[in-house]
Amino acid sequence: MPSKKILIGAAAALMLLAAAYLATGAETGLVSDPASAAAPDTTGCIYPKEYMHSHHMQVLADWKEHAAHEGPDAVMTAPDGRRFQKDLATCLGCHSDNRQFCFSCHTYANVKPNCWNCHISPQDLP
Amino acid sequence: MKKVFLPLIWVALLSCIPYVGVAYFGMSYIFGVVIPYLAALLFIGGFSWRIYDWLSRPVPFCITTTCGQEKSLDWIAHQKLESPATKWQAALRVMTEVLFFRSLFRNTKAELHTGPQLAYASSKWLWMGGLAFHWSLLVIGLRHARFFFMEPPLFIRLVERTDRFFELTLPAFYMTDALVLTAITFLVFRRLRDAKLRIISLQTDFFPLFLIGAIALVGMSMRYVEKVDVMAVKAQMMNLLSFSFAAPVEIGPFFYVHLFLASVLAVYFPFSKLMHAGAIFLSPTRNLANNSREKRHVNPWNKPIKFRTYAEYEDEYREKMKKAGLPVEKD
Amino acid sequence: MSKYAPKKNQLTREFLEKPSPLKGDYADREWWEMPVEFRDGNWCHSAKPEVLKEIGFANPRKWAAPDEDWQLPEGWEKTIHDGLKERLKKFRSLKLYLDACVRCGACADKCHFFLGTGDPKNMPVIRAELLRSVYRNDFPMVEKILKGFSGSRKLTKEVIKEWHMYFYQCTECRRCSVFCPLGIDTAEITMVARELLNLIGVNNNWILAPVANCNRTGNHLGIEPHTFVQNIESLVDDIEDLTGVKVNPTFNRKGAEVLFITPSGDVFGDPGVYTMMGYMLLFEHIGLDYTISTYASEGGNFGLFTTNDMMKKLNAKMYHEAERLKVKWMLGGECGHMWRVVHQYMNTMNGPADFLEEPVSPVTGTKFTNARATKMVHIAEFTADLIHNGKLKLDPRRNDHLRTTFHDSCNVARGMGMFEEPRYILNSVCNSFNEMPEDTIRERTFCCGSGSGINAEEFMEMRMRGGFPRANAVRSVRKSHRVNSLVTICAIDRATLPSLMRYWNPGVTVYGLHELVGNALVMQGEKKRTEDLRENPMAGTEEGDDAE
Repeated sequence: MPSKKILIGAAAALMLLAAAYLATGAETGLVSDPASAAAPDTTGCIYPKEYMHSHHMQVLADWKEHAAHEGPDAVMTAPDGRRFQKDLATCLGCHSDNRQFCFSCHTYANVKPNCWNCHISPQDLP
Repeated sequence: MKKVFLPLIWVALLSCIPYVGVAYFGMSYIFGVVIPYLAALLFIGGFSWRIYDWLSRPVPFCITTTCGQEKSLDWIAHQKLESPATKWQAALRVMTEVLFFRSLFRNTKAELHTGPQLAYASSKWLWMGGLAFHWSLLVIGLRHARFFFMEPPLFIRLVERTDRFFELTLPAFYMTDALVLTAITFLVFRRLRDAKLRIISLQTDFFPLFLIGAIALVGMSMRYVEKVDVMAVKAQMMNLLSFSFAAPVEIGPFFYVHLFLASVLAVYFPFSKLMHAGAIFLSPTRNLANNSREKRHVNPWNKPIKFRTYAEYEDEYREKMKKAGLPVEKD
Repeated sequence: MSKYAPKKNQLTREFLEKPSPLKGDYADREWWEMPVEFRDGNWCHSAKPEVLKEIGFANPRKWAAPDEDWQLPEGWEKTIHDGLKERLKKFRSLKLYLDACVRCGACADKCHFFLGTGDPKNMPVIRAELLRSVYRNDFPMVEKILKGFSGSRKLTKEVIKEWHMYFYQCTECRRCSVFCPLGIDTAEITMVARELLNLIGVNNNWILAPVANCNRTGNHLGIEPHTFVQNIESLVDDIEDLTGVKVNPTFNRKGAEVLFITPSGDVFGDPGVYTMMGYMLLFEHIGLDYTISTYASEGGNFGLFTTNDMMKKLNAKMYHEAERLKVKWMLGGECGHMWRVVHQYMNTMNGPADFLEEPVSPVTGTKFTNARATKMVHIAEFTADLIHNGKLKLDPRRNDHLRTTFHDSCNVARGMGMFEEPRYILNSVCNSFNEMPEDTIRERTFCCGSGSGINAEEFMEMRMRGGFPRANAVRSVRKSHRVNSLVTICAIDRATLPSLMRYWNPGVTVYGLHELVGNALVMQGEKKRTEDLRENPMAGTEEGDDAE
């Protein structure tokens, strides 16, 4: 009976599609759930400006480490109690103009970090 | 070991001076502007004076140390670097000394075995340690160009990129940083471990090692640990380079310790054994061609001398010479 | 054995008990705190007053190194200070080498005297520091402000004693300068230190007596012209007895093509005379038009071990005589320090020799362009060229009774760079050449231990110690290749190595290179050769012993 075969095939296809949908749904749900991320606080930077001048690269390195290992649990509490998701996007939330916030100083000091080897620089977006 | 601890104490004291001066007495102008200028002046003046002083003394004789076959008969292979026959070959010989420490590469270690039998083992440790030390310092020096140029020359940028090739940390870790500390440690310990070296060494041999070690350590701590604002540092160095006497903006005291120790090194340099950096180019046993029989070497202070002439000799021995059947000038 | 040297087994035991090159316990002691001790065997007789008067040197008196009071002249400190100042102005090398040393220690175990004595002050770096410490104290430098920082010290009588001891335990062999990364040559420092010491009458008779002799008679041994001729003529007779060939040297002959000058040790000393016989056979073989001078009858120059002026004064006779005799060029015999002077000093001091011609071998037509200006050719260069061009009839089997090794003389090796010619000759005249270990030959060759005028009998202990590294290298080829003949191209080697070999390696005999050439030369009209120039039987000629 061809109809029976067609039914089995269609069921299998449906199951595969469902599995794929569920799987991707689960993934996207984990990463993109906006509820679990700390709301970006744009009132001020996580540390004083002077500290960030000299230590931002270490903060970024630390964030990268935590974000990679802990995902959404990588949240920092600033000395004044504000909470931030450890994510490059958090930084870029305020410092989206990386021409000013990264490149101008890095060019002056002749520093060539490899951040943008992997991350897409906002300046490069259309 | 007085001669080891005294220089160590000296370096420790010298490190404290700018720290206290800047952190507690706000003397950043003195340590950030006045002293660096003075040190640069003394370094350039002192170095030039020493070189001029050496050059103004003549090289009366061609005293090449020949370490290989001279240029002689056509069919005998001439060793051009070991026994240079022309100025260019000699120049090349000096450059191999400067860049690769060629003579040190020959180093052997003598051992006395039962017999008694002397044996000579190849010993390249000093050569390796010395090369690592000097080349690291050179690369580190070149890397510092980023504080002195808006955009350092391509060559220096390439050196810098190679040096941080592994990108192990952020900011990227420089290989030469590890290398120079290892080399300094080796150079200090060999002076302590080997009984011969312990006798030879003077305070003035330990002092520069400790001083350079301290400069390197403070420099590294500013990069990796106790950060300072690089923008301010660069601004200050660019200021100095444009002969500006403007007061520096706020930079952490470690920067002043680094700068002050470097200034001390610069001042110490022309008046100490560190001048070997210039001397190696002038050493007559290496930079002269071994061609003294082919081309007359001129001694500027050569003066006629009274020697016993043949006439005087014949006057004394004429009779004896005649009896022996020797020809004489006068009868 | 000499009463001035310890028994061999005593010295051997000392080496074995303290196997490190550095002898003694020096923990936490500075070298300048170590006393100077003169005892039998470690000092040379001082120059006799009459010798000093003859050459016009300072402070003639009777004294000896072990004396408490050396009777230094009034104001000797000033003499030394002024003398040093003057020489710092004249020699860049001196100033540079006093300033530039980093005390890396590469030279420390390269000195034969250090290896033989284990005395820390025999490390070249400290030998130089002996002078450097005084220089630093007196000349403005940062070091002067920071006393003790760089080991500066005052000039005292003790310092003079120390200088006398250690600048005469340096043979100016330059081995340290090969290894020094800055090319610092301790010989340059020793030479100046000896000049300074001579200014205040601190000296060595074994050097200054030959200097006086050479000045007066033309040679170190003080041989007057008639005796000089007689002696060579007796060698001519010996050659005729041995080979049946009559050689015809001429003396003071004007118009000869070549003036031949060799150290007087070759004319009078055993075993140098056999080398002289070799030269004469060679010249006869090729029919060289040469003459020997009784006035410039010394190749060596002990002025090199005294003062620059004295070196120049004694050397001046060579060109003076060449000009008088109207020869075309000069040929020099086998000698070490002679060739340091001829190669690196002669033309500068007493040239230019425009009255001579560029040397050309009359037999092969080879131009010795490397001697174009000085116009003096080394006999090894000359002979190597002859052999290479097939101009010599040689039978190397005539040296089969010898098993040879070659000792590079310090000065020829490191002050001239001649390594290949003597080896080429040696390989052409014998079948048994074996090299000593590579760290002891060529530019790394070890001094005989008695060069630069310290070949005195009373200095025997130091000589046997200083020569130990050389003797030890010979011993190793003696064991591995049954070597019994040490071939040299240096008259001082021929004078000093026999006693060194007797002491350390009995059974090893010292030869000059051209003695072996003389043995191997097949002369026209010769009789059957059964004995070498020393009248020792050649291999295969002894009764019942067939050639292999």
